[in-house]
Order: sequence, then C-alpha cells, then structure tokens
Amino acid sequence: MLTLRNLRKQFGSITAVDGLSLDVPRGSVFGFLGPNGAGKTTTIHMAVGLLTPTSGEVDLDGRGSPTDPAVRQLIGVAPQSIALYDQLTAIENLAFFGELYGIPSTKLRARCAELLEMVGLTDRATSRAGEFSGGMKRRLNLAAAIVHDPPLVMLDEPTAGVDPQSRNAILDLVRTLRSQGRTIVYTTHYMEEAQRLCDRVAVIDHGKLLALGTVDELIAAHGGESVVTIHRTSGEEKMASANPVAILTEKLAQKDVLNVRVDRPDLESVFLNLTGRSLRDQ
Amino acid sequence: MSALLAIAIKDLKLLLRDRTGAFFTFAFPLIMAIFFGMMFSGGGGGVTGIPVVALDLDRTPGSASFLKDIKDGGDIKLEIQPLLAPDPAKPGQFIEASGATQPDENATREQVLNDVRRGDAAACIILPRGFGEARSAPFSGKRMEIEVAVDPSRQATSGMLTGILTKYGFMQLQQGFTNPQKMRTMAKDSLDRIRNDPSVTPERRETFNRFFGNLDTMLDSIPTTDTPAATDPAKPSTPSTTAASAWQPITITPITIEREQRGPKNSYETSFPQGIMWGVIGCTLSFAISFVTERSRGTMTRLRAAPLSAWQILGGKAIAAFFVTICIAVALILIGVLVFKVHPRSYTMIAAAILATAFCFSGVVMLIASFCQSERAASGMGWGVLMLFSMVGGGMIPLEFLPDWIMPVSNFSPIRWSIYGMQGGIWRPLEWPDMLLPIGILSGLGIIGFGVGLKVFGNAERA
Repeated sequence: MLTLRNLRKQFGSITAVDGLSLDVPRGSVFGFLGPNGAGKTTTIHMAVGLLTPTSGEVDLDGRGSPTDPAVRQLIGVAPQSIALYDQLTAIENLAFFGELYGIPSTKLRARCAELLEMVGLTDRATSRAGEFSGGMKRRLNLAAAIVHDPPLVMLDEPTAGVDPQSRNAILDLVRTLRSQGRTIVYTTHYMEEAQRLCDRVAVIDHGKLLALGTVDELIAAHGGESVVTIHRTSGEEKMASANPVAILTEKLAQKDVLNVRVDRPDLESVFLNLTGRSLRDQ
Repeated sequence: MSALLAIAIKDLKLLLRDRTGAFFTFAFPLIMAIFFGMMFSGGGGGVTGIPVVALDLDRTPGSASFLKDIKDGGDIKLEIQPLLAPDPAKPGQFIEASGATQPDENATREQVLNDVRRGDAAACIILPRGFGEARSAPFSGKRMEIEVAVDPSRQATSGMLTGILTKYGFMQLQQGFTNPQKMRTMAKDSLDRIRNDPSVTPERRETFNRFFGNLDTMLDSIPTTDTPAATDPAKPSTPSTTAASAWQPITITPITIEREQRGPKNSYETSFPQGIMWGVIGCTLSFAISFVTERSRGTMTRLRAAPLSAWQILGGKAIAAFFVTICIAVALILIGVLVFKVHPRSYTMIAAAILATAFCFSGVVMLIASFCQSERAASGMGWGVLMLFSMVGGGMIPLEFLPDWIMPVSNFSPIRWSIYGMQGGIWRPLEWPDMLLPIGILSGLGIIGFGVGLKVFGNAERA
C-alpha cells in the first residue's frame, strides 16, 4: 500500500530520516517504534506529502507521490497534536474536515453520525471540542482522520497523554479500522501498544531503520533469551535461556523453590539489544 | 471551491465564537469611531464648545461689554476677531490693525465669514455700527442689531446662538431693573434722544415723558440691594426673559453663506473611516494569528494533508478576512449614516475604497501569517507594523492634525490610502480618476501580499 524507497530528510546539518526503505502491506497495522526524536513523525509527514524528502521516493498504492493532492485523497491523518477546532462542535469539526475532501453534504451528515457513534461521542455531537476531556479529543481526532473513508490511515502517537481507559478504547478503534480492511500506519514509543496491535513493526532510531518484521520475528532475532528467576528459601537465582521450559522442569523438581518467574524478551529488549539504550528511558 | 468556502465559513464561525476576538473586530471600531468623533467635535459638553467668531465694527464700550459678557458667560467659545488692515509690506495681504494702519472693515468682515465657510468656526457674530448706542438706550426705539452667519451644516447651532444672543440682549434690562441707578441713566439717555429727535411728534414726546416719569416712580420702589443671581451675567433670571419675550431688544439679521466643501461636514465623517481601519486592523490580526494557531494546534497539518493546494488554504482564510472586513466597513458606514449624520457624497466610491481595502488587508493577513511561526510573533509583528501604519497613516489622529513631515511618510502606509479612499466617498472632493490612486495602491499591496504570502507559505510548509 505504501512504499518508501531510500527516504532521506535533512534539516540543515541534522539528518532526521536517513535512507529509510520499507513496504507497508495492504490491510495491515504497521508500527513505527522508536523513541521521541527517532524520525517517526518526519517519516509520516513525508509519507503523506506534508514534507518534501531531501532524497528518496514515496509511492502510494502505485499512484505516485502524495505531494499530488489527488493521491493525498487516499490518506487519513491523525496528527500527534490534537488537530481540532475547540470552538467548533464535534459534528462541526467532522463536517468541516469532510468538506475539505468534497464529500456531498447529505452523505457527510450520515458519515459524521456514523463516526460519532463509532468513537462513542454521539451524545456529545453538539458539544464544543474545547469542552472535551483529553481522551474524548483523541477519539474525535481519530474520527476526523477517517471522515473521508481513506484506505490508508496514519496515526501519529494517537494515545499520547490519555488515560488507560481511553487508550484501550483507541486501540479497539484501531482494530476496528483494520477489520474494515484499512491499512494503518501507527507510530508510538509505547512498545506494549506496538506489541498488542501491530502486524509488522519497524524499529527506528536516529532516522535509521534498525529492524523490521513481525513482533515474534523481531523478538526471535533481536530479543535475546528468556530470563528465568527462581525464588528459594536460600535466595534468588536468575538464568538466561532460549528454552525456559526445560529450566523450569528441572528446577521445579527441587523442593526449596518458593516461586518462579519467566521474563520473555519483548520489543523493549529488542530495542535495548539494537541500540544499547532502553526505549522507556527516552 | 467548496473546500475554499468551507475554510472561510469555518474561520467566520471561529471568529464569531471567540467573544474577545469578535469584540475587537466589531464593537471596538465603533467605540473608537464614536470616541474620536466626540473628541474632535468637542461633543458631549453641550453647546459650550461651539466655536464662534465675533467682529465688533461698532468699537464702543457698549459693544465691547456685550461681547465680553458673552465670552465670560461661557455659553459658547467666543473668539473676537481684531480688525484687519492692509499689510504695507505685502500688497493684497492683511495684518492686525494698529494705530499706524487704517482698518479695512470689509476685509475683516470677509475674514470672519470665511472662517465659517471653511468650517473653522461654527458661526460668526458681527456687531455693526450703532450697536453700543442702541444697547445703552434700549427704550429709544432703536434695537440692537446683530448680523449672524451660521455654518449651514450646523443648523442646531443657529437656534442655540439666537437664544444666547437674546439672553445677553435682555441682560442689560435685567441689570437695570435690579440697579435703578443704571436704569435711570438708560431712561434718561433714551428720553434725551427722543427729545432731540425731530422726527418724533409732540404728542408722542409727551407720551414718552409720562412713561419715563412713571418708570422713575417704579424704580424708586425697587430695593437697591442686588441679588447675586440677578447680577450674575451667566445666570440671568428666566422669568424676566419670558415676561419680556414679546418685546425683543435685539434684531438678528442672518447672513446666508455657503459652506466650502473643503473638509468633513462633521467630525464623525473623519472618525468613521478611522474606526473602520481599527476594525480592519483587528480583523487582520485575528486572521493572521488564527492562521499561525492552525500551525501550533496541528490543524494546519490536517489542512495540508487534505487534497488542497496552498492557495486554497490561504485563499479560504483570505475570503473570510475579506468578508469580515467588508462587514465591518458596511456596518460602521450604516451606523455613521443613520446615527451620526455621516453623509457620503458617493456610495460607489466608498464601495470601491472598501473593496480595495478588504483586498489589501487580506493580502496583509497572508503576509503576516506566512512569515510568523508563532502566535506571539504574529501578534507582535502584526501590532507593531499595523500600529506604525496606523500612526503615520492617520488611523489614530487625522493626518490634518499631524506635523508636515509625516505626510511623505504616510504615503507608505496602506491605512493612509484606505482612509483617503473612504474619505473620497464621504467628504473629500475626489473624482474617479483621483480614486484610482488609492484603489491602485491598495490593490497592488494586496496582490504583493498574496503573492509573497503564497510563495513563503508554499516554500516553508514543505521544506
């Protein structure tokens, strides 16, 4: 659906994106995982035509560059900052963004009602966005991205600054969008979200692609071994192993074992192993 | 086109729902127009501030004291014009007459009438020869004659001035009734004149003799203690005036003049174009700042991600700014016409000036919005630049009141040309060829604003 070829973006002496190449398969949730400042948002902005790459190419569904307005029609964007007008009501916000895509008014009304229902804001349709909580704004922000029913949706840190309940609601919405056959590009620095949602994940840092694959592939390739922790009456014992089951079988046969814990490698471990830094510390 | 209108309508909604923004865009200009209008008309203080010029051709103590009473009374702002004499050094010019020069009454008379014609004075009072004599002998049968010329655009002044002059005409009699000695002198003077007047028949002379004898008896019965109210020239007793109203001691002869249309008919004709410019400044800043806010809030990202070109995004904003500017101007002109006696001489010229102004400042919106990356920068730059334009362009104080060196500087201010164009439609005697200059300059600035704004916006946004 989306192809980036040797994409590079330079701001003066700073290289924000450095030779990024990847393909986003149609109908998948594709995650960009990386710390703040890794180049995720710059990549997204080039992918939707907001920024012109210093070099490299972006191709959308074989139709060319998104700098062409007709190609941008295929994309929905939910920017990292909440891109809504506080003085407009929820339905006015959606209607306005729909009008930018030339949706006929009768169809637009129905579409707005459908989206408000989808994001759970039907009863607040005529309330001004400025009166909404952070979570409600995030949901409306997402709804505004898909008002024109795009096949490709770019979600830039869509859960930034929201409470766990709203975060779950947003993740459910993303799953719903995938179930509708849309392609989702999802940037986050929360590895749990990438792990729960994404079919494929690109790990990027300093504008470079460090690894790309499914979550399991990345963990298998870069996550390292599982860590088995045995708590005994005499103390604690930690062992790293690619086969924790074998260790558990052996250790549980011993009588003084009080408790055991198995820490499987995750995307955090992947990032740590790839960069030598923790994703959470960024 | 629908996306363009959608952006414009959205911006109008945002402006109207922002109470502070709406106040400074719509209400504040009206307040400024009224404030400046009152300030330059001396309004709000009744008739006290009416500027009247007086010419004393009689040059007697009676005429001088009459003018002094009026001046001291403070009912009007009276300026006494000294007599002029030809300037021996500069033929054709006049200087204040002195002992060495022979006064030219006709030239001085023309001078005070010109003051009214030009609008420098609301009215003029001319006391002809014989005024003092008539004043000192009110019962002699001769009335005090006063010639009055009033600015035709200030008809209310005419009625008020007549009342004031009559009041001071009666004051002499009032003072007489409260001061029997003074009245006796006046009566004696009057009787002497009647006795010496050969045109008065013996029968009538006898009648006057009896009348002044009775008057003398009556004056004896009046207490000599003056009351402060009766001697205060500023507070003449109304009942006396009313009782004597059937007999007028003064004859006011109006002089018909035509007002030269050199300036506005009233101060609101100057202040309303200024007020409109305050509205335009408020509107320009509101839209420029809202444009920058779109960047900081992220809505610009959404606009640019939509299938819109840069000119559509800018154009939508410009349409809204253009529309609001026209609304402000039309609303203020209507209020000026309906409430503040603003009388446009050409509505089509006003319309042309307003359209050019709206176009120009929509371009200025684009320019400020494109160059500024933050609300603070837009606000600072906007206020700074527009205030400067306003100051040197006559937006704050009319150019006529500013020093001469400002005039060439003001040519660089679009506000100057906007006001000039609107004044052309209201009071300035401009013809269509004259209007081409302000309209051309404003349109040119608008095109430059759009062009540069579009270029900068396009380059900056996708860099």
